[in-house]
Amino acid sequence: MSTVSLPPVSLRPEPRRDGARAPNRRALALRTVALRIGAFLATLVLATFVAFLLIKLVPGDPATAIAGENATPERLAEIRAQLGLDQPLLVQYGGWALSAVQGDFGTSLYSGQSVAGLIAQRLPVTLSLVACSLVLAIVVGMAAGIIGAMRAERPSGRIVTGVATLGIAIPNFWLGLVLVTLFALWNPWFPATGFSQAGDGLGEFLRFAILPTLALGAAGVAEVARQLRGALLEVLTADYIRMARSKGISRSALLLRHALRNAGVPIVTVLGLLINRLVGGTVVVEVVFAIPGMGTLVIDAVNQRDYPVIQAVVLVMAVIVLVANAIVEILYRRIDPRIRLS
Amino acid sequence: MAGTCLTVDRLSVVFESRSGRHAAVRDASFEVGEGRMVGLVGESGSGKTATGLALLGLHDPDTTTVAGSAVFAGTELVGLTEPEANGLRGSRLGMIFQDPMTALNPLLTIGTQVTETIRVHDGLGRAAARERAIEVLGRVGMPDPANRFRRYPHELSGGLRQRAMIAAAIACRPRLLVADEPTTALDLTIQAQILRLLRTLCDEDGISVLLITHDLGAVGAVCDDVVTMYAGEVVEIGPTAEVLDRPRHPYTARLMAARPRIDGWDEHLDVIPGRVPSPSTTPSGCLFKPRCREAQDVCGEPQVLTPLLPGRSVRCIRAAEPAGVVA
Repeated sequence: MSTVSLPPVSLRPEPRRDGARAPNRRALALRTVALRIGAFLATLVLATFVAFLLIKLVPGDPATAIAGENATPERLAEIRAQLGLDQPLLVQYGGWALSAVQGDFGTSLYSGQSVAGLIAQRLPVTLSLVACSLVLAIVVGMAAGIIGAMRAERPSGRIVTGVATLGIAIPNFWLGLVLVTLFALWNPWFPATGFSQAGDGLGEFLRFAILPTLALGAAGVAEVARQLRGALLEVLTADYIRMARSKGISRSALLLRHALRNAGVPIVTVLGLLINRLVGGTVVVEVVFAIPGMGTLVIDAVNQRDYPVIQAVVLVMAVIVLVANAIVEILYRRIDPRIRLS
Repeated sequence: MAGTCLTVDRLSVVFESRSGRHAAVRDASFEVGEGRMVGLVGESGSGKTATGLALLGLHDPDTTTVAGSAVFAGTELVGLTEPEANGLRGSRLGMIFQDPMTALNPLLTIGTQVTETIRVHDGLGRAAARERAIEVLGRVGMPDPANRFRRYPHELSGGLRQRAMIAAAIACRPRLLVADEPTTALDLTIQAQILRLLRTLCDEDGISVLLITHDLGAVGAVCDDVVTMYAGEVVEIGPTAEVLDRPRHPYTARLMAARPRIDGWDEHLDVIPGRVPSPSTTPSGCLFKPRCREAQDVCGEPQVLTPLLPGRSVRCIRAAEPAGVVA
């Protein structure tokens, strides 16, 4: 248009953005939930199937492991037939999946123990280790992140940020070995290996758990600290922070009610990813500290091609990761009302 | 004029950064009368917002130096400690901001953001604060306030958000409300409603208002007095009708001429050539000289804000000359 004219005055009333919303919201929510559950199950099938294929790709087979290197080919074939290993891959996987759905995870090819029993023994150990590391990452990481953001320009803030950056770069197995050397061998304050369940006394549990928790959780502390610092620094420049200050809100209320909440979405994302990483990292850390958890269980199972055990461990780990992701998503909605609508 | 609510005397705001010192406000002096609405006008970069933020002590003390004096209801605002300032902010001194989309916390309900002010200062319980907040929301023209109380900012239109922000700022009946471009982000029709609301709060609730704006039309519609700022300096002060009808500083005159008018769209829009000088430069003499049509050699001399009549001051060497010079 070449001529300048006044913008036309709109006679249409502004659409109401509050009040009654479309009545089909419930149907939509149901559909969303159904889709989520479908995706959840599909992921489990995919994870276990891929794990299954990977074991088959690795050279070596359970029959040799059971019968020994010198067994005759006939003996090996017999064992394979017994275990169903002569069946096509899809049939093998299908058989496993069918039993698993009915709650039957079979028995270990090697020890003959029930896989469900093995998991029941090992899972609490790994879960307690992951939970301790997560708590460490949240408590120490958030404190460090807040200090890093509130004192961004001062030496204390810079030191905290520097240490956090370093923490991300340190691999957990190396940190584990250093911790064992320093605090178990040179100074025998903590046991170098083993574990004690929380149910058998809290003091003992902590004594055994501290070093592995530090080794597993250090990177998480650093990651949470770094991300929270970044998120807070951004949030603190927001207009609503200035508005809140203009209302005379104290510094602590400003931080808790306004800033941290708004930094919550990125932090929850980081925590979700962190749980995935902790579940993976625990395998290595359990080996370093010889902890009888899921990690050492799966390492032994892989060495022996004990595929019922491997499958069950993969399934449990995948469930943990998926549940953690689902919780993250629920938290998003709780934190940010704008996400609830979409 | 009744008593004064706010007396700003030689206020200066200097931002310090690695690239040097930037004077955002240079020795600004003006008054806000009790129960009056004062328009603080000027282009972007003239120091209006920096002045408003300095009054509430909202600048970052690590990078900003505020000097001079600003006496509000008997209290010196410059140099207050953070707890002292927090005691005043939100209770006797309120501020609202330009963009109601970003100045309300997106994660908290309107109700929480209004009750927050009340609970911090008046120590009311949850229920009492809620009742009071709903009353205030009604006062600022929020339709169906009890329902809006539970809503989140994104569920409201821009105009309603601005009303919510005003409610949060005046919930404790402050004596002065600093309104920083409160209508800039709003539709034209909503702008008029918000301006009318501010005027009503001023007339009926006795809340003095410092309206920071670049919109001279808004000032002409609602303000009692005008303070014009240019490059961090106050260049003209006076009653609205006087200043807008007979501007004595060439800058105010040019601002008036540069105002787009609804009946004048197809006419030549009289823009002011050049830009506001950078805050890092400190030229001697009149800061407006490079852009002034009336500039003379004497304008290179330092200029002072000179009272012409009671309540009317101008920072221009030629202002004392008979009216009509700056046509």
